[in-house]
Amino acid sequence: MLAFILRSLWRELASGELRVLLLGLIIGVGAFTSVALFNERVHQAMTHQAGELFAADLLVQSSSPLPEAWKQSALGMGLQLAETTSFRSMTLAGERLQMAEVKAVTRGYPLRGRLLVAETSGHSEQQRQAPPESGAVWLERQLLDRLGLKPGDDIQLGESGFRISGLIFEEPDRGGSLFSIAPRLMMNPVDLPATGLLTVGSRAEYRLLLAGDADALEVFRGWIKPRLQAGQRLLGPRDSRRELTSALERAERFLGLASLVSLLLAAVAIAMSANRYARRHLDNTALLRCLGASRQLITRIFTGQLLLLGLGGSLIGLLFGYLVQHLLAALLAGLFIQQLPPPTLQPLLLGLLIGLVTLTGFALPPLLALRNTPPLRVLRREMPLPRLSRLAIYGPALVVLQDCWPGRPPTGS
Amino acid sequence: MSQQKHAESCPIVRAEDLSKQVSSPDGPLDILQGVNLDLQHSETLAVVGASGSGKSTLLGLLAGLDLPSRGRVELNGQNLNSLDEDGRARLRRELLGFVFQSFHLLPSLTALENVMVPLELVGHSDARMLAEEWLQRVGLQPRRLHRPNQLSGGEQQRVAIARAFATSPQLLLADEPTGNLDQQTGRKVIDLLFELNREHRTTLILVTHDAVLADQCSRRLELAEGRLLQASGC
Repeated sequence: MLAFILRSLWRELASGELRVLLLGLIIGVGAFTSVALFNERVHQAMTHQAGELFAADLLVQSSSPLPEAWKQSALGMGLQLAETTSFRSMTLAGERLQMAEVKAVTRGYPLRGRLLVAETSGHSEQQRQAPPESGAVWLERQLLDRLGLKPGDDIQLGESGFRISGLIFEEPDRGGSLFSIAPRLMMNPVDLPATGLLTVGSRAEYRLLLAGDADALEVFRGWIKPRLQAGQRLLGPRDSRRELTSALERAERFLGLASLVSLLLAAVAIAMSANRYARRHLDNTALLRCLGASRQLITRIFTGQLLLLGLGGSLIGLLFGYLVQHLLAALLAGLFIQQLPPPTLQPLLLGLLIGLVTLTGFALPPLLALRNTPPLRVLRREMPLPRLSRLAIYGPALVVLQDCWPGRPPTGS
Repeated sequence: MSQQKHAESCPIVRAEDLSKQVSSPDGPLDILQGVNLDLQHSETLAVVGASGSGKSTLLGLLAGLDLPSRGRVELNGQNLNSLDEDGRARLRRELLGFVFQSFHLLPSLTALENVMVPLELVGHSDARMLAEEWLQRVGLQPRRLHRPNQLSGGEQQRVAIARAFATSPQLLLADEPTGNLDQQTGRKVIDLLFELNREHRTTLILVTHDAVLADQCSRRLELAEGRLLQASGC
């Protein structure tokens, strides 16, 4: 009977009878897969880069200096520590003024990611994990240019003067130039009091950076949470670059919604096409039953045809989706993340599942109803048509599609 | 051997008090009433009558396509009332062949593939070869790869005859086989049908309103308003 199924399917395809159904399936699976693949790649990239973007595995952020006891506890739990103090201030060079984002960092910074600094202009940058020596600062090139300075010159910050000993090329938790207001000035925390910039009520952000194994971090997380006061927050990699994460989530939701609409439109096309196909096959089915085909055989014939059609259409849809997501990645990924990791198999398998669910959910019921075609129809065409409850047919398929919607945040994100 | 003798001795078709009632806006309507019939192997029976006399209803009941409101049908000694729909389908597959007025070929399949359908349904191991032979027999071998819409009415009916005989059925049911053909083509199709029928000693029930055609059968049964009006040769 497989030969009969294949032959019938091939003939139906060749005659164009199933073209709309196949096209609907390809578009639906393609739309779903492209968005699912793209979302998954972006999330992978975000997770991978989160630690580096964060300069730590976990951090405590506060608007006031952090208690010494917290640091001791973290050390006691085997975690690595570093601290940063950030605030905005004007810098002065001769007559020129320029706003800077000042950051004092302790030894060990950054715990994750790279801090690249060139000691003097012209020298290649080197990776650092310590602050400038006392009395010296590192600047971003932008600040140097705006003040008309060069490495080795002096710069005034608050009540103190500093020597420019290096240029910052890369800083892990900078957050991207898109979200910063002023260029960076990095200094040693021991010089902070002398500047006179941090007094009671100063607007500064104090961070305790932590890194270590996952269990120790989890213990610290549990320990610190009840101790957090107003103005203090515990942040994990998921919270890093919140602006970007939120923008991406919105984009994912939009794309997910667009793909869901495409999928639903495709499902409607599939359902209509399958209904039309089933009606056109009433006479053929009546003939097969008259010639001795059992209801089980009719079910096998149409299920077999649908399965083959579903597999073929879904595979083409997957290929289509794969190509579209490459285009999406090329258009959007460069805005946020330079390099997306390669796609994985999971969204493709999900796309295949969606294709089969869509087809079986929306096309199989009218085709299965054919099994009840009265064989007497070969003699009396006025015989009533087999009927089905629409809710019973399409309800489960809609529920499955809703559950698989790619606009939902992926598990673990 | 005794089973074969039994099969030969018992009628291939037996209908007892066969009646069919349907509901209509004016209440229950009897479209067939109290038909009794015995048909032996290799006999040919013409069922004649005006339109609406119950000919097709009788054919549908004898083929197990429908169940009677009263009475019973036995095919080869098997009571159709005792079988479910799939059981009746199995019996049709094993015993019956059909020729219809409007040919009823599967439009997406070629002539050859149409003849292969009943052979594949019975699980014949070499359906294609046998179908080729049958198309050769009805003179359509050169057109075996044509689809129904590429064939004339007469050619389509010849394909349908090849399909009906392909599984060597014991009973052939033909419903107005010349109804959609011109006289000359109809004549040729009927000659072919009776020739094959004689060759294969198939029992034939032919529904027609063509008196000349009915005369070619060994027996004749006339219906009017669902009742058996006259039976000859019985």
